[in-house]
Amino acid sequence: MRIRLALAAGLLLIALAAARTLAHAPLVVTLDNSLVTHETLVSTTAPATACQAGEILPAGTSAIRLGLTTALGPRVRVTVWSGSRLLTEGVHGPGWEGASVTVPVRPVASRTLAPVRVCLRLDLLNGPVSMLGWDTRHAIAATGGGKRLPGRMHIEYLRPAQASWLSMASATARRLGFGRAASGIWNAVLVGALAALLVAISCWLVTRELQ
Amino acid sequence: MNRHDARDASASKPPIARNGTTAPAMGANALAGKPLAHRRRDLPTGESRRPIRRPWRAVREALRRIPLAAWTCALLAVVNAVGWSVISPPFQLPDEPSHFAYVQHLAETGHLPSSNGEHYPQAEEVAMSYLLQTQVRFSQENHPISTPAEQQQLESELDVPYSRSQPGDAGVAASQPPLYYALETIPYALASGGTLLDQLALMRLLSALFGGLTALFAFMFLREALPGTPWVWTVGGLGVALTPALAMMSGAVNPDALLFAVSSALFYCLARAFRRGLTRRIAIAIGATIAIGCMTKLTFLGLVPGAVLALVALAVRDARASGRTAYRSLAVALALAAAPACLYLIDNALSGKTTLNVLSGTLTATGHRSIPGAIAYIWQIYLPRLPDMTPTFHGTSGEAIWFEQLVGKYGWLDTTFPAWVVKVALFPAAILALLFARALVASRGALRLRLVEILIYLVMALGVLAIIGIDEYIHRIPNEYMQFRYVLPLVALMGAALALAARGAGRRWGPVAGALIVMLLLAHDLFSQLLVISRYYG
Repeated sequence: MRIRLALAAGLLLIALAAARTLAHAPLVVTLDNSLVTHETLVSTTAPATACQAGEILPAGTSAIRLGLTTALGPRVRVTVWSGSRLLTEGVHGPGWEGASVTVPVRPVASRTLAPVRVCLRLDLLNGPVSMLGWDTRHAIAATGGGKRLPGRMHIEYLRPAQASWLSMASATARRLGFGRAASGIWNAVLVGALAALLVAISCWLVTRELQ
Repeated sequence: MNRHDARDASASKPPIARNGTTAPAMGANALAGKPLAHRRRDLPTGESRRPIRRPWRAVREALRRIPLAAWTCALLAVVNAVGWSVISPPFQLPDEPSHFAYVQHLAETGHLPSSNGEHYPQAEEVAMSYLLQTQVRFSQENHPISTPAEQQQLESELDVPYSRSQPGDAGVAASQPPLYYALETIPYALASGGTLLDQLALMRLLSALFGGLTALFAFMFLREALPGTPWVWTVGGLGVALTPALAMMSGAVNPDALLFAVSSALFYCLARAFRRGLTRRIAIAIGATIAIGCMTKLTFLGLVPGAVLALVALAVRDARASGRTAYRSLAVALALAAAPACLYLIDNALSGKTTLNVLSGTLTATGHRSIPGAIAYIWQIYLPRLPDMTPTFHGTSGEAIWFEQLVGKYGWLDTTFPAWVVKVALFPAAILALLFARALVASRGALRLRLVEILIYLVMALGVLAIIGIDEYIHRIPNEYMQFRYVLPLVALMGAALALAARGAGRRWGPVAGALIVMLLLAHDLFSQLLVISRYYG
């Protein structure tokens, strides 16, 4: 009986957490400052700062994604300025990896602000960090260490979506069906069925063996 | 335990129970592991006095002795891996393009890849291009194709008969031994009537079967290592089957899938030998397993010193009872284990290649570095930095990186849970650690009796950790080799740790703790799948 109660409690918690997760609105990109393929603009192995003027800060932005790539990321501090006024800021701790870092920032005002200057500061480096972006004219390029960089850094602005994960479930299931051997919604159905099977067999085995 | 198959009863009974006393669920007797052959010296230690049977019948009988719970764990691991193979977009798993290219070249030409470059055959390059592989990899902001038009374009390109054999590059896979790739040529050939993505899907399914074998052997290892408490085998076996990192790698075209299975098989064989003696049959199994492991992936070499040490210890121990027979078994095992290395040396000598060029290259790369520096560097990969050590990491630590890996890094390790999840995960991890420690303290008497066996498992674990550390040190790219999948050859030991944690809750609450541990792992697996789905398709 105790085993069944433990399983029931576990399943209930999983269901509650799943419901909470699906009711949650994901972060979505409200503005991407470029649509081109990004290349390495500049790399550093020492703490560094850089700023990029002429950016647009969309209303409701709660995270900023920067085009930085590294094997083990440094601490990244982002500040957004309008003239000398600090609009928002945020920090991402060291230890991330990949070709971008999403820094949560204090949610900004309800209206879009432009032009703004986005600055970043990198410290606690664990290896080379490269800035990803695209080449531009000298005059509009980002600056770093008092000099013009070869181009502009890729930046995305994110905010919570209007819709929850649950309301996007059918679209997500449809997308899961693309880009594979046998495309179609059946891929999502299969994933759901396999997950259900996983839960059912695990519970059955625990009840059978641990009772 | 009472629900186990009757055929399994003799194996599942604790040694103490054979003498008519009750084995407690927790405590010294529960872990008691004196080899059965030693306690029953009137019985033969080898198979020579047993009636001669046809091999297939022996195999069938051996398979019939495997408990239903073990098969169920294996089935769950396969189901889990298949699920992961469906949610992971093609070529969006670690090094999958390289491993696929290796199989493709081997299947199409009958030769091993000739270069570690990353120019893959045109068919693969075109498929990856239309799948937006490079744009999506490492970049969370990018998603795979998501419209019918893109799908149609992809399908029409897949129908074009592009080259599949040239130029012969296999990227990071090129230096790996060929066994896994040779096996993968079977599904590759079976799906040759379809597109390249059909072949990839079928190849992933073969890996999923290896995932099942991993869980099966992990369960069987627990059955031998913890004979006193059968219910914990299920906790450990399910723990392995539900490990998301194992399922992810077993849903990929990657030799890691076979490596995990072979490593778990080695732990099982060794545990069986420690419990039942080094019979000729077990010696052959251990030798063959080592040989298969060496032909699967070089990481397996980390387990070899410990395994050889185990064979020597077993032979010395068993020689007291069976004389030279034990040493003959040792010789057989070592000869089998050394066979791949000998073949490699002979092949190199015949083809005029530099023998052990991988090693010599490694030594050249490390020549200018100091041994104390290496020790300090590798130490910090796993343990807190000591005061006089030069920091390996800044703003983070090896333990923190490993814990984040344990909590979850998927895809090309670019898909992670939010930072708060890692913090929350510390709570159940601490409880599990405490329960595990409690089980060890409660069983300290039995642990002392099995000190040699436990030390050998530790040596094997250290061997794997040392290989990761040395790779990390040589390449000096922090975090490059600190991937959870690299420690999964030890997944059988992780299953044992979970099983012991459940037992650490005591006889009354142990099964409840076991059920909750399984629920925790199930939740981890399901939410990891949701994370991956949201990253690629959200």
